[in-house]
Amino acid sequence: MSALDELTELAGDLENRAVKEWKGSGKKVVGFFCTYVPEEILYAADIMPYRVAAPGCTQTTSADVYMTHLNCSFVRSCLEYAFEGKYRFLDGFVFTNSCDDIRRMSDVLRAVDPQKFLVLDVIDVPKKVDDDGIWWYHLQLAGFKEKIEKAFGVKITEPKLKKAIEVYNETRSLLRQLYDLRRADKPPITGAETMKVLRAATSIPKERFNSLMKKLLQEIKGRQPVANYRARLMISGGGGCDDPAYFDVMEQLGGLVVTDTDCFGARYFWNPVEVIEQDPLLGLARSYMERPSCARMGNRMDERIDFMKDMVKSHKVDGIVFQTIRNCQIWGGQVLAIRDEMKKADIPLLTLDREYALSGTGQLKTRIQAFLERIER
Amino acid sequence: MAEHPNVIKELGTIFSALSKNPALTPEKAQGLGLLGGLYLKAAGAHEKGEPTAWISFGIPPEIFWAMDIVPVVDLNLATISLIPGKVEKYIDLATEAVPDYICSTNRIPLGLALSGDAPLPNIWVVQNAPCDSIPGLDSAMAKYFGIPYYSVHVPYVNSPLGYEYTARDLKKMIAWVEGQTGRKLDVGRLKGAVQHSSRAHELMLKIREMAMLVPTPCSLNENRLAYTAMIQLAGTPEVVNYLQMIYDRAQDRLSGKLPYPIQEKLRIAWIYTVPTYSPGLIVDYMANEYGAISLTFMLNNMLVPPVKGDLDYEEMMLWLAQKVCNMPMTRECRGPWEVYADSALDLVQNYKADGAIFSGHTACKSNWAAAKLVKDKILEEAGVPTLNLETDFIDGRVTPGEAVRDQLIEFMALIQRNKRSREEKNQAASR
Repeated sequence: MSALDELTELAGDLENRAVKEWKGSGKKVVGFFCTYVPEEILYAADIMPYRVAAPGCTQTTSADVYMTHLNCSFVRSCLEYAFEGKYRFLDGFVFTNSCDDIRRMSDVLRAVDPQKFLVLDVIDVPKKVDDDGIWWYHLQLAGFKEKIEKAFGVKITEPKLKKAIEVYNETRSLLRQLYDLRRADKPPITGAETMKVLRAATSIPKERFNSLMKKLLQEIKGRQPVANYRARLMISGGGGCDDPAYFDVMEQLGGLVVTDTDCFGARYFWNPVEVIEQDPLLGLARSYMERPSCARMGNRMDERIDFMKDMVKSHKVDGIVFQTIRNCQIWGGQVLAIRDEMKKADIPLLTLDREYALSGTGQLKTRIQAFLERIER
Repeated sequence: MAEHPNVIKELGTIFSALSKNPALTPEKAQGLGLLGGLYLKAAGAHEKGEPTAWISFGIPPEIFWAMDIVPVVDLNLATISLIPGKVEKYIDLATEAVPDYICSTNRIPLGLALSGDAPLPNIWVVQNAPCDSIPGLDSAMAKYFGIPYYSVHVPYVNSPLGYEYTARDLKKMIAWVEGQTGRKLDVGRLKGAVQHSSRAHELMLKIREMAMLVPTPCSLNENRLAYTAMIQLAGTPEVVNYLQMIYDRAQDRLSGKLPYPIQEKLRIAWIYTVPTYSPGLIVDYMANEYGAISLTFMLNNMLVPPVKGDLDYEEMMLWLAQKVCNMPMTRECRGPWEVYADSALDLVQNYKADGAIFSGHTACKSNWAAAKLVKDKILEEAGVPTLNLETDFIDGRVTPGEAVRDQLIEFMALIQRNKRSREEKNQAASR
């Protein structure tokens, strides 16, 4: 089996083969929702961090008892899957106050059944990036570390933490290499395939992922590159963009997704974590806070715009698909400035407001088709 | 080319004129007069080329008054909805630029700015709580219009260390405002502003105690504008006088010097917002048809203790930080759901409400995601039913007054039945 096939297979199931093997060896798996959770702390405790998603969720009947149509469908889908027992393999959840909907999901789980849905922590991530914010986040991470140690009866030592950072930095470096290959005029991998790789990156143990990634990077050098496309696309915007089928829709119409600025994509791994010898937690705090930001960071608007523009340039992007999950106010509000700034920079931008589940693709296809006609080479 | 109107000035003029209407109660008249005066001052500052500031609710206006800068709460420009037919234009204009699920109170300043009908401020200071619309839209809006922007951090939960963090950020904010406007903070003036604010908060607590009495001598009808006044005018003597007047008139009702406007039969606590539109179909309708008195709403539930003694600069900043973190909405909407539930229970139990109404603003994602939990807790711990109403509290087109009234009719019948049943049980027990 090729590395890509193996990664695709592993990313295909919620409780995938790698998770089962990990659990089979008596080890724990903890679910997280937001990339402001430093996975390294869990990994240093020999716990596998697992990014929670709800692929294929088509209805949210049980979740809607607690949330409403006014809430984000990504979060409602995850809540639905939690109620359906699809995350049974998780030994707990870690939340952040990422956004209103996600933090409330932690509330609902705690209120409904705190034993069944063990919420290990809600990490208070500041909504601005400055020295005080880093100081605060550093304190929160120290508290998070203690909670994990207490909950699982483990000791997270500095050497273990440094080792975890090293493993994770290797992941980041390997994913950067993959993204660098996508800069080529004829990239060796599609956007949909890349999304499968990214899904695997957050749902299998990192060392195993790194090993497969190294193999993948070798394999795709000899692969027939993608040459026949109408335009190079970049996906930007809010969370919940984790479905390879969504990318497939665009690529079947002739678009080629060559990069992104998403938290399921580039923002997850773009910058390495700085290793501070005397205080690795501080290195984590600083690096996570200062990396390409989520729109929740109120004082980083310029940085977000610059990151988008840099990515457009480096990956020779013809147009941006700025997608937001309906009811995501954090990213929904950003569109005002982003549309304006991209217009000034002469970068075509399509805004798509959508639900998490990929249903009724007709309208999506129509919008993408029209956009491709506008920007095709 | 036609000149743009200055809506802020218009609001000032209209509210000031309305405040002279002899048909209004003194509580309403003086409240509107305060708002009118504020907007006229803000418009005047702009005309004179003095620095102007928009702040989000919760940012301490005391600091700005002490710097001689008129603070206009951006979201409070939604008071434009008090003038029928005025607000829709700005909401619609904004909705052409951002999605309709962004809070309408955020879309109103955007619509005003896009239309050119309100002068843009020189600076904009927000707190990054309690909801996502603020960092999401405001940071983009500041970029789009080129307004210098500062966001103050409010931690997820209250703690002594968290207060220190916010206090430090407030100090950084002051330095930033000084740099942007050239206005220096006079610590002596800040002391004066904090003293006025402290007295105003003390009066808010006294009014709260008064509103809890049965029958209430001080209902929402009398104290409705207190929140609006406090978030902008705390730190001024005017707001102290206004609250003192509300308190004194409640005392007069209690002592029989003034009549109670309506005979109280049912008591209602609004555990979140109250629609600003169609009062005749909502708050007034309940009162007139059912004797159901709206006692208060969450936004008026200010529980900030007054300062003790003479505070130095550091102590003042800490008090202001505690105030930021404990302002209504910031307190309930940003942290774990239990904080909101406790706050709602406080309103229901201490105000001895027969029914609670959660008028959930459609944009308030966090509250909608907690609404069922809160409703269940109120029923379980207080035995009081809650009506969950889906509304946009500013924009009556989302759930028109008639639709709200229809839901109220059913709810009133329910709480009437509950009350009768309670009374019968009590009578049986006393026999």
